[in-house]
Amino acid sequence: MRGLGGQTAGALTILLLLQAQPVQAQESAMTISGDPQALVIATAVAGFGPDPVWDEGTTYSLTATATSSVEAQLDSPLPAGVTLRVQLEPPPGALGAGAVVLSTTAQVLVSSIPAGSYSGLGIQYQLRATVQAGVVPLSSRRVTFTLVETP
Amino acid sequence: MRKIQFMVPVAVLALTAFTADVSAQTATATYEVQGIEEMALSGNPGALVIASAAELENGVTDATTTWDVTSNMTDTKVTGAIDLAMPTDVTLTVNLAGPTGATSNGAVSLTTTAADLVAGITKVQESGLTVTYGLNALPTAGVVASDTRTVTYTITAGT
Repeated sequence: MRGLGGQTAGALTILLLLQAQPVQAQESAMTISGDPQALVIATAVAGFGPDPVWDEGTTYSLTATATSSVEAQLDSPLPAGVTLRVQLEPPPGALGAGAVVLSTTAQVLVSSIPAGSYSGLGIQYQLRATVQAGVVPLSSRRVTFTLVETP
Repeated sequence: MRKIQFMVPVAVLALTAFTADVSAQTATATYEVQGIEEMALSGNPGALVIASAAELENGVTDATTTWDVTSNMTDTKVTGAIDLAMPTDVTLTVNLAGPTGATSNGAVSLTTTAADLVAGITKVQESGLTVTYGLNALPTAGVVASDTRTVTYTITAGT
């Protein structure tokens, strides 16, 4: 029996070190940086409706392994005359839907997101109210953002 | 004539484009709408001058200014008062047209004590509502030199 180098077996020992490194399969995922500040409407110009308020202090990041979209919906309806809009900064190549009025039905905020990883994309929350909404005490709604792979 | 009917089997293939939710995140949006009551006036009226017997009898008015209002509350009201009392037998009135659903008290004589001008302002936003100032004098007032008064309007929170 002969070894690889032609030496006689038994005189040469070959050690093969095999190191298995974990291979992580990239998965589609979305994260948001946190909750917006409280949106409080407290002013108006006489003759006009209450002034809307905004929050632009949060961002989102996502990894898409296929063409995807982002949808959002509320856990329960807002009071009559009060609307919450959300606008997501679209990743490059994607289509932003602008400021979308949220409801308990999922609304598309960004579509045609190309596969890839994107981070630090802006989220704008906008609260509007009509005078008919009256005084609305401090309340909260949960906004669920969902990354959806689209065909 | 005979009709022959064929039963044609049709295979319907429903091609449904499917989507897959792959990741969901939540954020809590906290919101509040506070009580708001705002009013604004377009400017000062012209000078109110009584210079004839007819004007002495009927008074003079100015309706060249307007007011705007926004309130998201119920039963908001507007009051008016002047900074100094008027001369004896001279009366300054103001009549604010009320927004929809509210009640105007018509031409109200102004004094240094706030008087209700419009009441029942409820969840409304309107602009261009007429403000009518009136000046009346009795003959006993005599000749009154040109003077001014500051009218302070106050919109009071409802419920």
